[in-house]
Amino acid sequence: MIGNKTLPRTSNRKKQRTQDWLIQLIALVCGLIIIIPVLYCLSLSFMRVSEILSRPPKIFPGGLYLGNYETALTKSMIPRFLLNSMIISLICSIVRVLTASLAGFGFAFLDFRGKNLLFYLVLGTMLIPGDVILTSNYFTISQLGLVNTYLGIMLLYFVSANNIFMMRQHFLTVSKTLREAAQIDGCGDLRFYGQILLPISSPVLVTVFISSFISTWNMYLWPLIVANSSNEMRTVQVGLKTLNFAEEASYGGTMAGAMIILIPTLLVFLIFQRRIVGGMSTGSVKG
Amino acid sequence: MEKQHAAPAVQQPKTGRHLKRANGYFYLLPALLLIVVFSYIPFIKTIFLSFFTINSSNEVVAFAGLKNYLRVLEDQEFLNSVVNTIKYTAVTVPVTLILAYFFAMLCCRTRRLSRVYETMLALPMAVSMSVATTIFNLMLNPNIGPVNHYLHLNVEWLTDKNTVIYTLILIGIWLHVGMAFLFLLSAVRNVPAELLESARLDGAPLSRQVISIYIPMTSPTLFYLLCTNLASSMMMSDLVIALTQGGTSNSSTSTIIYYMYRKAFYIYNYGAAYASAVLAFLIAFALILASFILEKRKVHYS
Repeated sequence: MIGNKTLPRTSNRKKQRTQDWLIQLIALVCGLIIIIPVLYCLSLSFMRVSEILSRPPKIFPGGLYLGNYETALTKSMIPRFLLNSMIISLICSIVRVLTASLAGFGFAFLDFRGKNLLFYLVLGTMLIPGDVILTSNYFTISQLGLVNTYLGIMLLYFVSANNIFMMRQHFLTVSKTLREAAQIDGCGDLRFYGQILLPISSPVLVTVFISSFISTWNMYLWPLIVANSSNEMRTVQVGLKTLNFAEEASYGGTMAGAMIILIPTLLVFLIFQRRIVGGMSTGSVKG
Repeated sequence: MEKQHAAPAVQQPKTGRHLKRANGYFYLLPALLLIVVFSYIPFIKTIFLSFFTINSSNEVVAFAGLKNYLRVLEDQEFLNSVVNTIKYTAVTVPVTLILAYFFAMLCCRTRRLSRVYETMLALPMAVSMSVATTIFNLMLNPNIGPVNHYLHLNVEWLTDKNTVIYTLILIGIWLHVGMAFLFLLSAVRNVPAELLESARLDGAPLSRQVISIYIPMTSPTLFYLLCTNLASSMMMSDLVIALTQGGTSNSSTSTIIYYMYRKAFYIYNYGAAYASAVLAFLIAFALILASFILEKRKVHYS
């Protein structure tokens, strides 16, 4: 780099190196402070009751006690909550990828009257916060007889304006000649969409899928309202708040439950961290 | 032979075009249907119904004019909710952005351990509100939690009426800082190297570089984060529900959307719920509009 040429002196380079290490150290300390709550949860989930209640509060468990996980998985509804959340998040994310890619394809490749207007109609929903229309949506779901059902929880999340926008922006970068070539070969729109466009867009599809998965896995208020009267239909996030362990297991069991619920999103985050931001920022900033 | 083949090929686009026109709507249909049914119709309904008296079975009883609004605006609980919401937003949003910017500048250059601390700093973005409140609830517990003990504090984080809002702010910042950090990190790294090089040759100190190069060059990302964080903070209610189990008897931690939620799902006063929802929307909308005016003047698009 140019920097090396303009800094010929070894003392300067040494200074640079110590500065480098210092910055790394500060960043590490900041990072540690940020993840303290997660580490605390992890640590507590391995503690026996006596350790959790000891004074002064213990930071590290004495050993790898797995009883809390056992309690969480056998003496609570957590497995059922996990199943509910898995079903809801998977279906929502798949449907979202479909609705977003179909609409994105329409907006990017096809010509029809009122296209711009419809596009603004889609973007306009970003200005309507979901919480404001919560009550009204609840009555729609209730009139459809979908209270306490998976479909009732999922229906609102089958579409996301942000995802449509992301797909459209991505499809606009796909060369038009590709479609023309496909058309000359007698390939119709639907086949072009399904057999050519989707396969070559798999990175964006994965981004949309993953960001939907995390956001639907983590949603709280809507499933709380829709599945309010049925414990069986609760999602993990709502269920976590209703856990009722026998007194001596309550803290450890809850922490183990929180850890179990955290694992899916944590894994997705660790694997796809960069891709999520890459995808989101092309969908938002480039406007 | 070839010529005969070519003739229908030229004609095909013409008949195809009509089909394509109808086709476009077909591809948009699923998305548009959902958007209209679950965004626009409920939005219009919410505004419309806020002008009516509605009984507890959600049936329209009579036209009420502005009565719902006046009643909500005279309600001390609502006014407290507005103050809390604004307090929460006014602290959470700037602190989150400043903290995230600091982290992003710290991590800007890739170093040996970059991967490690970047992942650590971004990690809260994977943690849900529900899990976070569960953890903080125990961490901040005055009896068995480590925070008060090791920091030698004596704070009633979750029960003291005057403190709870700051606990909410603390958790809110923690939940949002990871995402803001990742966005700002990629923005800071995209600042053109030549600009920084020339500034360095001119001997500009880091503070100067931040103010006149980094911040202007990353302003689109900052603006995006400002808008999304403003919107979500103004609509915050889940933290209140999850952390203080509603605090149903007092309004010390109530926010506007929490007020709406309580009126709709606990008190069955739908008129008040719709009116407060519209007011929440108007306040948030005004704030976002204000930031768009700021954008016109300050944001620099390359």
